[in-house]
Amino acid sequence: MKRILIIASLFGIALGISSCKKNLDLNPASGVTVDGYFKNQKDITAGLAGIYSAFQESMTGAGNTNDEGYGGKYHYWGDLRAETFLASTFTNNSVIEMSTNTLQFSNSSTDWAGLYRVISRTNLAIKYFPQVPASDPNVTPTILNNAMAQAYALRAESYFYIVRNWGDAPLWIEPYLDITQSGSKEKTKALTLIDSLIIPDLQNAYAMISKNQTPTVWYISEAAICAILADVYMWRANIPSGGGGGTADYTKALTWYNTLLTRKTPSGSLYNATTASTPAGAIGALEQGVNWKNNFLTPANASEPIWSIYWDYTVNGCACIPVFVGLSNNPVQLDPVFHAAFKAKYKTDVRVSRSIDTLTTLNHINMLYKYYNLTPTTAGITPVAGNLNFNVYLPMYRLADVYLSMAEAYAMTSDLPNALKYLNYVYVRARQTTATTVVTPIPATAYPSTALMVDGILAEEQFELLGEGKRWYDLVRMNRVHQVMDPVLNIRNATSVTVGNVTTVTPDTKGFIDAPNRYLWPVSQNALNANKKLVQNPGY
Amino acid sequence: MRKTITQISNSCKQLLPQLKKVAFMVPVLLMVICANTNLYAQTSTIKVTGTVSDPKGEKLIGVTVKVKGTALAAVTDVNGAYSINVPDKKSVLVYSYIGFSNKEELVGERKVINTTLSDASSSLSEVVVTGYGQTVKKSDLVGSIGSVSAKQIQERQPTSLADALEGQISGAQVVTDGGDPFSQGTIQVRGASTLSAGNNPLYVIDGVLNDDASFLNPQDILNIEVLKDAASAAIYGVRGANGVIIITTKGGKEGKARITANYYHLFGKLAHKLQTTSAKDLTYYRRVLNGGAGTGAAVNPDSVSTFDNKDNDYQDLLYRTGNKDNLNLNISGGQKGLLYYLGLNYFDDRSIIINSYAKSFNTQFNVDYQATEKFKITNKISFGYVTGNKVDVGNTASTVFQRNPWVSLYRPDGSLAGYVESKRNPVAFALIGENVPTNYIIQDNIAANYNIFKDLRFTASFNARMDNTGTEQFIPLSITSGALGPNSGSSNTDNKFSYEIQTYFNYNKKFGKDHSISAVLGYSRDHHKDGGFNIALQNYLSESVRVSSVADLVATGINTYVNSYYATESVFARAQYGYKDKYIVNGTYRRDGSSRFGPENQFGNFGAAGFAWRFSAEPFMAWSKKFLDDAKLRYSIGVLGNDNLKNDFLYSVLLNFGVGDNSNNSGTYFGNNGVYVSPKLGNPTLHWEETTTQNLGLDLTLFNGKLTVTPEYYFKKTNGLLSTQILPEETGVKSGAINLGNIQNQGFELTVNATPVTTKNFSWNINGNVTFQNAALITYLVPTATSINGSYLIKEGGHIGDFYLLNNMGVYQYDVSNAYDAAGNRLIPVGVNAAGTAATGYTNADGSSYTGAIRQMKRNGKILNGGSTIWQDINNDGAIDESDRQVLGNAIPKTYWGITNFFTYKRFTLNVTFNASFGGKVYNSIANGLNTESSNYTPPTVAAIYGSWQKPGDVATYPNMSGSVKDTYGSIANGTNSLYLEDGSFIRLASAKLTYNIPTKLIKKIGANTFNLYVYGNNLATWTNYSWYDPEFTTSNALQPGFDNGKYPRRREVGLGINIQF
Repeated sequence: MKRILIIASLFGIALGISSCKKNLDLNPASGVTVDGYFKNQKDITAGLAGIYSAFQESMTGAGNTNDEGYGGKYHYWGDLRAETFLASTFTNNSVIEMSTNTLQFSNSSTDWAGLYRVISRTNLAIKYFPQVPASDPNVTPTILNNAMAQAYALRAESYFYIVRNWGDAPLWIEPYLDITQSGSKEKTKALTLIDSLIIPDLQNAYAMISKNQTPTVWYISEAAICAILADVYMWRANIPSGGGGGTADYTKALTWYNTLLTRKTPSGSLYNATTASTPAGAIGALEQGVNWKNNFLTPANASEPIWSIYWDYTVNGCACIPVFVGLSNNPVQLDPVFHAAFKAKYKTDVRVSRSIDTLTTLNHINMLYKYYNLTPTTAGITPVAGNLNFNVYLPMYRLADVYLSMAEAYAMTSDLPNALKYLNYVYVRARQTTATTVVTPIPATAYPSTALMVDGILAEEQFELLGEGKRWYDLVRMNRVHQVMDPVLNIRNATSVTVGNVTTVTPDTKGFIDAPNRYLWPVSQNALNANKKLVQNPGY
Repeated sequence: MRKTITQISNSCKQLLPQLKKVAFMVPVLLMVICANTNLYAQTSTIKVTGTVSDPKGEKLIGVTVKVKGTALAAVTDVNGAYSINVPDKKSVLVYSYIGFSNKEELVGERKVINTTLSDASSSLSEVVVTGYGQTVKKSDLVGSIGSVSAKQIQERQPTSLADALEGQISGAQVVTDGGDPFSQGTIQVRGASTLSAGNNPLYVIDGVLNDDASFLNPQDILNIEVLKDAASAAIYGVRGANGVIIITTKGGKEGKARITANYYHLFGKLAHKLQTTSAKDLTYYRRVLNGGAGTGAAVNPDSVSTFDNKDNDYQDLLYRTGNKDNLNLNISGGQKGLLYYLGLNYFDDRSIIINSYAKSFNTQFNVDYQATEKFKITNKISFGYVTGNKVDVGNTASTVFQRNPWVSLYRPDGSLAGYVESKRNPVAFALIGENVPTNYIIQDNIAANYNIFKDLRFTASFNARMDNTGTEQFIPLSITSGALGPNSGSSNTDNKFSYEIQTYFNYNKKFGKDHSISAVLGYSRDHHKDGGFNIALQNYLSESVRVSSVADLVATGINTYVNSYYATESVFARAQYGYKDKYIVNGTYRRDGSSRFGPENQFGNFGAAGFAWRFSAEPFMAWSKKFLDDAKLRYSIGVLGNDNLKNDFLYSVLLNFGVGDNSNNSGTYFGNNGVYVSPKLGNPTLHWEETTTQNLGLDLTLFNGKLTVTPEYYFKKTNGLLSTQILPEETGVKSGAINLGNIQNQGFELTVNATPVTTKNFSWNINGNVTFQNAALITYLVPTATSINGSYLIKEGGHIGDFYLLNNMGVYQYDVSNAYDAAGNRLIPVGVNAAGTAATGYTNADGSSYTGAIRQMKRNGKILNGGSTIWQDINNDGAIDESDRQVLGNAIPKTYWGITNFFTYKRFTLNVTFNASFGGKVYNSIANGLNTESSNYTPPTVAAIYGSWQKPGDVATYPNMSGSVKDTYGSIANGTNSLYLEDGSFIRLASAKLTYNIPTKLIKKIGANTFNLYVYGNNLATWTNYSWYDPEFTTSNALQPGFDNGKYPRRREVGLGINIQF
């Protein structure tokens, strides 16, 4: 008995004191340290996936209906402030604010956190990718440079969105890894961001990326870099309040656009290969009219897309964009005036039935069919509500928008014949209801001046690029906000007074208030709260 | 007491020698002492007999009678009689019994000793458990400890520990959710001392350190001690900063098996029914929404559709009479050297929401085996099983106010409708939705005690706890939107396992007559692991099967396996020295290491010192002897720590992968999982949170123990608050753990226990406690701290729980009512036209005419008009925005109290408990949310329907709710509107119990010793001005107390029960 006791006691004690160091020295269960990573090629692949997925979340959404806002910001930033969309019956204050030019700092879409998340991941990649070849000989300079090019280009693209939405903004080119250092930074001038970060990053990216490759449409390619760079040069002038008065460089933009045309498409052809049409060359290298929707349904195999955002609902969840077809209560709908104008072209324009529903009632007008393999008939279509199983491939750039931008650049440099040429590619293609349909192009006499040409481009663009996140930026860049938005906003902001049973509606008269301050979004209250060095944008 | 920064290796080196010494000492001592062990010889004896009774004359059965200093013992029989052989006339008999004070009788010449035991509650000799095998006589306490006895628990019939403690102890703010059958409530000792998740105190259950006591059945508890100050809690070092609750479970007594059975049944009703929107209210509202007009379905639904012509009161449909059954059985007993206690409890609570229920089954089995005179083994094993259906409050109780009353609950075919007009059917979701938890908890504690010398005891214990918690959820097709599916479900399992090893020495010695020493020295280490799986399924082929083969796995990152762990290691020591029981000094030291901090900051030193002076024993107090039995002044000061972060490894900057639990979807792209810096950025400088507590207390016992008064003052300061810092968005990460700043709590507590009347037939005992507190004053914040946290401001000089809101000053009567002078004083328009758009002039508030320039208030860039809310423009800039928010109240109560009255009349006892809370505000977020009119189909509150501004000239509380306006003027301000800040003060008749004790002779026939019948009521009445269900509810976020966003409503209960003892 005694011996048992002694042994038992000893055993207890031994348990108590065994290896105290080991007891507290535990390794993290769900992560690795930065020093322990970026050692081989799969680490580069994972780093890039991290960057693209953050960009995907910012644009398409987080995969459900109840995250920040509703879906990603692609449509809110690019479309909702323009005339083609407005708030639906099932809306929220944020959407009302966007469609009536009454943005508040509390607006759920005025949040740049998602873009800065992309930037921080690109900064991590740019800092740590170069150390990989030292420990993995399989990572050749080509592999590394292609990966670095992606990181630089996505950093530039994210800053480009920030500059377009908010103007001045804090500059981060290093990953933030030390919490003991303040994470608060003051804003950097938008023009400085463009000239000393965005443009150099894109030039770097182009220099590093392998040439004459057949790209994957889900990743940034040679052509995508060209497209972004040209876009940046064209935007450069249009940085209101605080932009520092840059000027657009249409020549450089055209140089990059023309470089783009010599690059390869995802299907392996060149962007300047002429598509078969009647007459030959009438639609440039665009997909044929009847194949127009391939740009959205199968961009990986089409010849027109340049860069689209990938989605896989089985992994990513619901691509709940604000005009999603699988839900019955979208916060956004098509503007009825625009809807009527577009629908009127039902028989002559291949895009109508491929883009919108023909009915104006609930569950029809609040959906955009462009991204779905559903074709409404004259009786409309009611998709299965609650069916979240749709993939949405949002185009970042495709040849049609490049053509329209080229038309604009030529117009702005007074080369009207070339402007009209590129505008007509898009114009004619949209009206070729069969491959052999002969469409009369817009005559040169229709748009005899730069201003009229720009109006003509915008008129075509609102149908071609409907819901592609471009419209608002184009209105700002082409300086057409007042012209387009004033009458629309006066109707949207009308006041109604009811006396007895009679309701009197009085349209507003102020149009787009507080331009150009309100071209920009307010800095969100969350951002202001967390970074005390930030100041609110003027006008908010 | 300063934290020492030491490297791990050094610390280990320091720890090891001590431990090695311990390891060496024990076996040596064991050998020496075991060799001398023998049973002492029996010599000629004296036989003593007698009976033992309680103060009322009832014979007590099962009282242990021991001869002091020997192992000789006997137990009273069913007649309260005993017989024992004592060695000699100098022998002293010690009588002990649960709930009664020990009593000693010198045998002397007597052969028959009849004695009476007195209740323990009023006795100074009551023993208080102080942890790690130590107990202290209440009269010798230096620290601040509040106790709850088994008897008090018995009177209260609690279903959870929080229930048992509510209103019982000063300084312990207990909050319960009276309706939710799964809620365990929260207990906070002396105000919030931390901001992180762990504001809960440490539970020490039979010596085992636990973060909760959810598996424990209150009926198995012998007593509860709440350690409030540093001197008491410092022995628990890092775990003790939020207070310590020591729970001792019941054990057996020598003698025949004692069987106690207790059964009660309670009926519950929704305690506070609210007014919901009726069809008539809705029609009225729809007209308001349409600017007073409107026709057709917007105002009146299709008059021939049966589907659209209901007037449902969803509250009546969703709530039912709850039924709660509790059956408790315990058996205890033992023979010489072997004692046992078995507690079994079955609990079935069908709560007040339909299909909301919880069932639990608990067992507790305690065994004490005295192997030899010196060696004792105890094993305490508890098992708990809980299941039920957790009805989602958001889908049901909250929907009651959101769904229009005129739509039917049923489809034409008689089945329950799911969504109508985008609003859930609360009845369908409660009845058909499934959220079924299945939790198993098992804890075992094995301890070995060895008395090395008479005064030195060694204890080694090993305990382990396993929690297996799982939840199965299912939403059938029929209640999905449009019944179009897909049906969906999920299943998760969480496995927690922790073990702890403790070894310690206890030393208790009296030197001569005047000196006494007690001390403990020990070592402990523990390890915690927490891991779990979750899978989500949809498109079930059969809705009666839940296994994964019947459905498709949802592949969107919901399917997870997570895992984490941490460990701590400690050495600790405490000593108490008493001189003539007059001067008592106590000191504690503890050194803790935690894996939750980086190598630099892993170890911390904590300690405390306490002093007590029994001045009633001083000669100069002789004059007071007549009425003052005992008076003691005590003071303590000490430092405690906290490592309770929500996550482990927060000191390390980590990369995460794929779709983690921290990010949304941003983890995978085109088939590749991504890597990224964890959104919770690691902080290598993270260190212990340290709470310094000072406590000054006075214990007074007067009039032969009939009155005890204990005033206490405490001052608690927490440095290096562990908190989550929101980082600037531009950094790309979301937050990081930091030591945010310092807060302090101070308060005054008074506990009074009085027995104003004791006669043979009637006695009245009253026990009251009150706490006045100035809680959670923020004394320092790191400069980068985020100040605005939702509806709250966190600022140096402010308090945790400060509501930061726009001050709502009413509603503009007319457009022209929005008129201010240059100083920001509101002007009163005169001669206003019918449309309210023009006035002939303005006057000042005092009636004098005003002729200066008129300024108008703007919000959202719009000039506010008639029907807009009037906000106070703090900075007088003419625009209402974020900068016009101000602190308008605090959520933490300033005062709370509890009073328990205990009346005995012959065989009746009546126990009545009140508790109350004053000075805390509650933000009624649910009403605010309803009034945002976020959906056309959601009606606002009834008060807002009839109290809103509709036409120029209306004097209204609520702004214009017309659909064309729809909050474009920012008049609702969800989350920042002072209109929805309400007074959360309340007084509650928390419980009442009337017991009848059936006379012994009547129950003898069935072999019972006691047979009680009782009627019982819970939450019988609440007096409050709060407009929603109940001002008392638990809060999961320590930074956001008092935020009512829809809770399970509280119930009022009455019932009856029986208690039989064999």
